[in-house]
Amino acid sequence: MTTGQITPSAAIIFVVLIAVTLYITYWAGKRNTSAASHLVAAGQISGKQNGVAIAGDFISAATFLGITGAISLGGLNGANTGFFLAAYIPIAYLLAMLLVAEPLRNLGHFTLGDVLATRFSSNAVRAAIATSSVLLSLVYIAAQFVAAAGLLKLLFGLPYWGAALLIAVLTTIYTLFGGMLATTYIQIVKTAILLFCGALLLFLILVKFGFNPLTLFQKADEVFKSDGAKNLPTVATKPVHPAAAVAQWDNFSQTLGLTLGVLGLPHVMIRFLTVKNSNSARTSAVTAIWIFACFLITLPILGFGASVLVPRLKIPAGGTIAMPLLSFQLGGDILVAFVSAVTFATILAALSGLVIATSGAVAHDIYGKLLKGGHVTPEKQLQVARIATVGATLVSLVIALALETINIAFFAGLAIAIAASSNLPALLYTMYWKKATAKGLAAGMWSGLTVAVVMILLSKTVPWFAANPASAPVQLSNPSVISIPVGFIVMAIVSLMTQPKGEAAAEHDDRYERVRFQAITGIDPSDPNSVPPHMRAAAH
Amino acid sequence: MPSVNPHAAELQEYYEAMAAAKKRLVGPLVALTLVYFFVPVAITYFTTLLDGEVVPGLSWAFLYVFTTFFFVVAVTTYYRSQINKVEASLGATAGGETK
Repeated sequence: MTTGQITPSAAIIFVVLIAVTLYITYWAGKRNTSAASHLVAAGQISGKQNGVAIAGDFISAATFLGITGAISLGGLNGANTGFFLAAYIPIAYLLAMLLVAEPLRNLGHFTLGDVLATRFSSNAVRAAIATSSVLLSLVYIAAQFVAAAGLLKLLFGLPYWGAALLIAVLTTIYTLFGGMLATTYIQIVKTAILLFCGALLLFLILVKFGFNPLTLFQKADEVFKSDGAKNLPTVATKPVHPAAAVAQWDNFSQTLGLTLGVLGLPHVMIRFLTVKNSNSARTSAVTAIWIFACFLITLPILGFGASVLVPRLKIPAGGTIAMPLLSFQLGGDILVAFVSAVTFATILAALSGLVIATSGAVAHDIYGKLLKGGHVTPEKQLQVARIATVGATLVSLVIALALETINIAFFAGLAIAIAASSNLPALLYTMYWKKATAKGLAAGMWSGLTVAVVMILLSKTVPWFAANPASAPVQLSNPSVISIPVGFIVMAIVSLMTQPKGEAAAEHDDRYERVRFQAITGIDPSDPNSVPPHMRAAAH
Repeated sequence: MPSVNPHAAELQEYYEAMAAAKKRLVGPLVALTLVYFFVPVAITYFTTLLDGEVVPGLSWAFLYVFTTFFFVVAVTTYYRSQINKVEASLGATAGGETK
């Protein structure tokens, strides 16, 4: 296999896959006629479908190629930023299911801002979460864009600008015409193909080792020891040197940020708004967790398979193309074409979800609520959402083209840190803490956001400290271990300092009780016709 | 809660039962999840306790990571079955998606 060339089989699979996604977009486009359908599929997605789509959001190209590549080169220890961190994904969704998914579905409409607005009508709160959501989504999209264009350049030999443009055009078509419905179904199709692909590779590897993973592990260990890679952490790798101690905190900060950040990522959390009720939201989380557990646990076997079966010299630094190389080894041109096409679909599906989340925050929170005070027709909101969709893609394309040669890996860390330090505290305090106030929420969100951004900009990961990383004022490359506590603590302190008094206090408490009621039951307490579930049959 | 609603008492009763069940389930499961995941993460990053080999190529730390997947599935299944029981007892599953 020679990377950087499109074989005829790859071209055919590629074209078929794109044709399928365009047909889905055409089908969904006929149903995408309102802001509700564009932003959250108007509740048309079932719990299980949504669970598959959620799983697809996180079984990304980075997860599939990045983690297996890291394992193939350095074993499990080499994947400290890989497989060990992959375990955070099911944990994060377990926490999401227990804490956020159901209340979010019961309180939200289009965006995370809606959830906070059920309790705090203050514009300051909505402005803070809209800003944080748009900023982190754009940063996240740009990071994905650059990585995706680089990957396509590597896999198919396209020029970088051509790859970026192709991604931008297809993402725009999917999101502009198909909205959330198309985005979700494309994600479902892609996840199904990726799971099939993973299962096929797993089977082909295990066949070669008598279906005994331990034999594979031992063979891989021999490979790592023969080429000097250290597979296992040893006492010598547990540093006492200050710089190495920073690395330990960095690893911990990254794991903490990634795990908690998932619960504050708008493009992930709004997926819980695409189903009809909290029960379906729970089903979504359960389905996603099962897929994560079944898929991610196989990654070490896939990675070790590449270590043993692909000649070491063929896997370049970073290991990103270890899986395509392994596919070629196991199934020739057809399998490698299949894996590459699925990777491409993965990138498009993830980007489309991010673009929809951004357009929702812009059209609904910023334009509809903040600029127009809620006085906007559904048609106008849909129009603005579509403009925002194109805008988000264009901005990301420009960033991707401008930053081709700059390492913007820190973008992904920044986005997740903002989600964990700004959005997550706001969501949890709104849902669970009676003493939370609007001023507390706004102050905490801005503090978490600011600390995360400033720490990243002063850290050794940014390009302007690349020449001399030791001169960076902040040696941590991931700010989460600092910025998350700052977000939570500032929110708590300012809330306690701004407690309402007298009648306002009673109204504040009543508002909280109403939010709790709606979050738990899914019933609007202001609706005089609402009845408990067991009385519904009789009532109708 | 909704005092103008003719079914306010029944709604309040339903809310309180659901709130109590969720409080009983969610708090301990969240605490267990955080401890199960972050304590070994800290031990792995900051100490050598889990560095030994179980078999060549597999350390205790990564064996523990493997167990995380089973832990997540077990907790998910338990939570779902318990909350479904509560909802069934309160008649809240009509029109829902419990399977």
